[in-house]
Amino acid sequence: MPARTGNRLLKTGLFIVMWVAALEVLTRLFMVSPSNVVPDPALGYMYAPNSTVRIESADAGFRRASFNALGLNDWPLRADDHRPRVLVLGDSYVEALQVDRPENFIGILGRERPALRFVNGGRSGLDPVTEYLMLRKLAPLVNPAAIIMVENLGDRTDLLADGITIERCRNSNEICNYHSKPVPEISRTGLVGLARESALVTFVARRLEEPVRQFLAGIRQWRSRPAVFAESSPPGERYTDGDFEPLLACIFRNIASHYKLIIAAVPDTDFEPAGKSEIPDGGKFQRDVERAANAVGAGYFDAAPVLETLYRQTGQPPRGFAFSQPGHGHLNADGHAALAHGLENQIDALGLKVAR
Amino acid sequence: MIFTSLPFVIFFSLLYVLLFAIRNDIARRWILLLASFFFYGYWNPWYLLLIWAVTGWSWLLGLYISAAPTPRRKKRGVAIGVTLSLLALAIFKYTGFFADNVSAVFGWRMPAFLHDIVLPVGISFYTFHSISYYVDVYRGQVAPARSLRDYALYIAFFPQLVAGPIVRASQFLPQLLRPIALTRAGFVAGIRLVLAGAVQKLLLADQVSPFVDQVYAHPALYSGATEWLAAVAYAMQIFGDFSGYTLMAIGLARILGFELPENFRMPYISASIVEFWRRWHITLSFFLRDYLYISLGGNRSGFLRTQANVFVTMVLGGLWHGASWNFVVWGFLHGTAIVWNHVWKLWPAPILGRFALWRMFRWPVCWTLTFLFVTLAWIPFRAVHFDTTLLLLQRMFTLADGVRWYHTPTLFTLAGFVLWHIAYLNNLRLNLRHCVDEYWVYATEVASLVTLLVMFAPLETSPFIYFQF
Repeated sequence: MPARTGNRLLKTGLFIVMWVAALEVLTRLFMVSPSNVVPDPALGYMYAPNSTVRIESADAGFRRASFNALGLNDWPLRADDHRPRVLVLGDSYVEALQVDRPENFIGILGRERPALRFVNGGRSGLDPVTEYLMLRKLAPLVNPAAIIMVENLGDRTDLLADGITIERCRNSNEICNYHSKPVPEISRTGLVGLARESALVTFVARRLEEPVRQFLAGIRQWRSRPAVFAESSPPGERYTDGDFEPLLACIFRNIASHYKLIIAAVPDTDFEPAGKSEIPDGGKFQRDVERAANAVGAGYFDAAPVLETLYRQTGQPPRGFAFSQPGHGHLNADGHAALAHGLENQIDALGLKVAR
Repeated sequence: MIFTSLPFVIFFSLLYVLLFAIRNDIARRWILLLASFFFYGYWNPWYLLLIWAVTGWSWLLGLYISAAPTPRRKKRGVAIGVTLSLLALAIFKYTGFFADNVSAVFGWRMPAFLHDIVLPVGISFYTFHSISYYVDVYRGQVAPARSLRDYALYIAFFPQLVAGPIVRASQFLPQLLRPIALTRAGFVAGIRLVLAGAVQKLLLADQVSPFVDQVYAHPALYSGATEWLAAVAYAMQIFGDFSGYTLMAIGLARILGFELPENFRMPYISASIVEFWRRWHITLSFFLRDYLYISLGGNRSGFLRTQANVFVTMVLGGLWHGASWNFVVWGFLHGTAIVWNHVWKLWPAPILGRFALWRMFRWPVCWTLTFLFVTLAWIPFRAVHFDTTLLLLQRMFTLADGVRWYHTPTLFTLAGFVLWHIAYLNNLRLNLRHCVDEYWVYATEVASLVTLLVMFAPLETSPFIYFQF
């Protein structure tokens, strides 16, 4: 190799090392922290206990988030706190990393009903089945007196189309086992170790994950893998829209048989000019959730009216952020406040009392 | 196959390697021509028939114009050529528009197929290339291309084929008189331009396009202030989109050994509308000036006639952008503004110039008025329906109530855009070449641009706006 080429290669290598190091520092300072995701056999992943990180939320931008000893977006659970605990389950709507913790509906409920300890058991990407698994994981640690499950339209999609496999007990509607679906997180890739050390790898891997997946999917002619029953069901049985309600009822029954249960439905309302709003599927999602809740005697709360009223009064949609688009995506601080106030009556109706 | 897509990156890389490996100049020209046809046919192979037809007749007419013994015959050749090129443009671009208007005015039912004619990508550009060829040959500014292959390469050269810059025959054909040279200097400069163009497209235009699209799609939903922000954002978007595309085109051409003309020179620092058109889409401005305005008589027949020529040129320039009254309105507004600019220079400006206060504030006042005008004139350009334009203007000027949305990425982009312009105006350039080795400067530039693209470019890029023209 000529000396000039060698010199150039050396300079290039040195430059790349310096550049990557500078980027790593800048990423940590201004964007995200190294991944705090740890693999979890049942749920795909959880957040590392007692971790504080900077994250990138798709709709609310770069934010700081801290997680308690259980890996939840919540304050520490104190052993000497004997208030009845209400565990709130759901996906990113409940996890609520887009708003400051005191501003999410669980934080607000905690202030409004100080006799109860509300525990945020939400995590991005969960669906009703995995929420049930989250309950099984947290129940011994949290010992909840009641459960609130918050369902949104995304849960129906997640449940029916994300490739989960569920085993039903023979001669029973109960879910006996659940096989993890592919988890779209870097915890599933070989990068996990590197991501835990490097903010840059975390940031770039999360950014490139979707296009890379789509690219590979294009090559492999990726086929959607809808949820299927297994073992106790005929082979190849798949869920359809019509299965949503009975499956939901089956999951709720598993929970309601052990806990007081409230189900909240948050539909994808379209917010239109002049304070008008419309629910795209004509309210079918809420009806399905309500019927499933009624079937097991759980309390039911439809968030649509309170969110629509808030929009009529303020002219500002209760979901969406300046970073993305008002009226779409997760609930914003106003939406969380409306949800919290809407839920209060249902919570009071549970009649939970402080243990003496 | 847009420049910012993976298929294009693969296509261009393979092409470059092939051209680099093959040293024979004739073979390189053929490869470049076939690659250009492949690039164009990638959208729709049927479009190739049209570009071949335009290439064929314009090449023959160029030879005819050059060989014609009398000026009258030469002129006739030009007239035939221009008519044929404009006819192709009219058929493919304006038939539906014409049918719509005839239906609206006379109530006639026009055949459905008139509305189904598909607009071939880039037709507005390569028909202009052919017109430039006839006129340049007629004026003796360029020798007619003896080789059909070389002429076809001028028409179809893929970096500038679908959205410009509008390259004149007299700028491109002489470059084919020497062998195609792939040089290191060309590669280095070209990569820099391509990356800078990609940054303008992906980090400037595409960052704000979701916001702009949403506000223009629901003009009654958002507050007047949000709509002002969207209007400014669109001004940034169309600049980033089009300037980014042409920078990439110039850079790609440079890598392949060709020089294309500059198309944008910081248009938003203009303090008059005349200056704006010297900085915005420069190749179109000069094309319209040299081939339309001057043909109409230019400034040879008095002030009023000159202004009429300017006005007609701008209205036709507006119509060139698209077959819609919105574009005519946009051209009308710019034509009116240029005429007003000329009147202003004639009368109030010299009087105001006597006042020190005016001289002190002249630039900021003129800049503000120019930017405001250009931004507001983009509204009919962007809005699909004229009703949308009127509704937006009404809501903006009454600061109507509605959903307030100050899109964070747009605000960041706007801040960066403003800083960039301030730096340009103050000639603030980070010139490290005196103290650091050239290698490190280049490496830092390229690494910075690549990093910005990898870390912040949207994952889904929107098509280039000027492709529709």
